[in-house]
Amino acid sequence: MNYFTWNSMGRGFGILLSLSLIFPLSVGCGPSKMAKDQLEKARKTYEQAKADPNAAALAPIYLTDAENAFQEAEKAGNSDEMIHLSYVAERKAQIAMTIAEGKKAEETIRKLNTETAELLAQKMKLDQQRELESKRSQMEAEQARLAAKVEAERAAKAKAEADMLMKELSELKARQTDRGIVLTIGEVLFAFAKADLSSKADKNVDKLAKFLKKYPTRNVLIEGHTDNIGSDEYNLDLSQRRAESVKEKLIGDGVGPDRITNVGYGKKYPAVSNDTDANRALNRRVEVIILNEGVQAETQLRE
Amino acid sequence: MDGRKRTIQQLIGGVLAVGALLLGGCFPANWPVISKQMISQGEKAINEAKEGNASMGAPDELKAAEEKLSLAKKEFANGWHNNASRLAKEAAVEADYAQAKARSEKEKRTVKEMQVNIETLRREIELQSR
Repeated sequence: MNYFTWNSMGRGFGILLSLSLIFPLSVGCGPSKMAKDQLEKARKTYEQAKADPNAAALAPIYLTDAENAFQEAEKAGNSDEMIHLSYVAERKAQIAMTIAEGKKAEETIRKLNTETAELLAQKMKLDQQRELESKRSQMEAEQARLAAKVEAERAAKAKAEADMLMKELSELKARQTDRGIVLTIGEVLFAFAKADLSSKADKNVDKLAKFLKKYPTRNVLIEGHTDNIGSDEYNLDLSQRRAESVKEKLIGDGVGPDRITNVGYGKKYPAVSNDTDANRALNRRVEVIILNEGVQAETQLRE
Repeated sequence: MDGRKRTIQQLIGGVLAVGALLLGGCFPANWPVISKQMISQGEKAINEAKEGNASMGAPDELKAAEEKLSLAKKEFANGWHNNASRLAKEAAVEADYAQAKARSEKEKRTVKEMQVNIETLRREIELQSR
């Protein structure tokens, strides 16, 4: 009985052993369509990763990992195993490509860092330059403002001075012209055909001398004029003598001769028309031009 | 009678042999241990992906990994250790992918931001040099 049993069991075992060898070939090794599709998908992704130059260069270990996983999937013993291993292989190929992408981005970041640093340095330099320029232009503006202030003060002072001069000379009937301050020593100050100063004229010239001594930078141009009675030559000579006598008087009062220029114009420039005695008296005169500071008398001569 | 008995005995023997084959070839004794290991590896990979900010950078992949892991645990509880192992392995590889993707996306975002910055700097420098 025992022998029979073991013997028959052994035989059955033999049959089934040979069956079990055939079984996987007929059932297990025929992968389902789904398994084949999944393997195909994995193959495509793996081939894509293999062709990716970044993956080969930057993620070689992951690429090898993906390759091994794919080869395992190809050798899968049944459909479920193939689906599973294909899934794993596909993801591993994706991981290789993704890691490579990340590494590539890291490389780019390093380059961009350098570039950013360079640009920042460039910008800092420009900022400094701009700051300097703005400081400089501020300083220039400040200087210009100060200069304008000084100039305004100077002008105000000059005007005050001119006003003062005018006031001081008002007694001499001074008037402001573009040639400078002009005052006339005349009217009835010279007698007909005379060059001598009257006593009133004397006083006026004294005042002028006092003024010129107070303002030593102001020079004078003395113009002699006559009425229209007599010849040109006579009147020219007379006018020169009149101017001369004012000059002499000023020198006598202590004004430096180098500050005084005198000229005679004769009857050429009457102040008013010579139609009456009174008017002719007005034309017998000397005009003293108190020159603006720094102005040469020669530039103020009439033709 | 004898022949019939023998046939039955042969059949019993065959069934036992198939059972032994199935048990021996397909269900190794240490499967529960292996699938438990696989599950803990999947968990580890998911945690690493989360630390790598995958919930922001690769939320779909992370979710897929988590779903696979939870399925793996269910299969493990039901005694389907082979399935549990596969699912856990898939969860791990999915989590690895999520982590790689999140990191790569982050680097790519940084590149874009830097390019914008550089462009701005260039414009400013060009304006200033005029």
